[in-house]
Amino acid sequence: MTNFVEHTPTIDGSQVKAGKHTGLKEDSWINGYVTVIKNVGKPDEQILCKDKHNLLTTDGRDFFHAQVYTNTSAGTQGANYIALTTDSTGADAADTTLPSEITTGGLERAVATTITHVDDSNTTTLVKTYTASATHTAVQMSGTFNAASVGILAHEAVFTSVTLVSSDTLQVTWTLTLG
Amino acid sequence: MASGLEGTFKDYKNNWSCGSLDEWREHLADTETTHRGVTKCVTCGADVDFIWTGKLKNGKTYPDVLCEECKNQ
Repeated sequence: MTNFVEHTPTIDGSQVKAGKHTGLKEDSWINGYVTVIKNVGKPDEQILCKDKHNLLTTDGRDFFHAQVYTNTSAGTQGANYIALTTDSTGADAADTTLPSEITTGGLERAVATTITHVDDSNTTTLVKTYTASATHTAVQMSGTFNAASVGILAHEAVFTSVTLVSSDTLQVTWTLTLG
Repeated sequence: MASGLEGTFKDYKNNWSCGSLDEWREHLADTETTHRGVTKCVTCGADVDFIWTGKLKNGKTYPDVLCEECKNQ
């Protein structure tokens, strides 16, 4: 938060107070909230996290500025690929990759199957439901990228560690605000 | 078009904002909004490009959509 007040003397000795109270919290213009549910709609449905605030990476912030402001050609693919990892080191704004990203067994990075925006709002939703085709132990973090491989890691969020066996599903929902 | 909305989730058309996703979902359920994007048909799984307007009563932040083929069955 920035709170800056400057007291400037005038010619008659009184003071003029010039204030700048932006009231902005870090990342207040770009927020992400993640919900992760194992086996949605099945008897053993398990909510691993609900509406958990994400972390916007440093590269992600730069990416959004480029997409919206500094690109001098048409915009590129949005950050609508969703990836998963078993890494337990947590989200870090300095991350440029998702550590130990899962690349096989049905949980590999994929473009969201639902990508929607509410008109005249600042909100977009991305959803991907994975179906495991192998056993995955301790899946616990998700990230969004702007490409099917490599690319820019924009958001990260940790959720309750979960083990999936073949045919288990994992629904990951990112609700994102910008502006 | 509204301005000066302070909440994290903003509906500029209706001059409304809030600070939590639960409140946003309630707003989407109470207020007619227009959603546009791509998704899978909830019946057959086909890709669907959609524009949907209405009150969202499914507790989600996006509508469940049918493709034209399933809609016409």
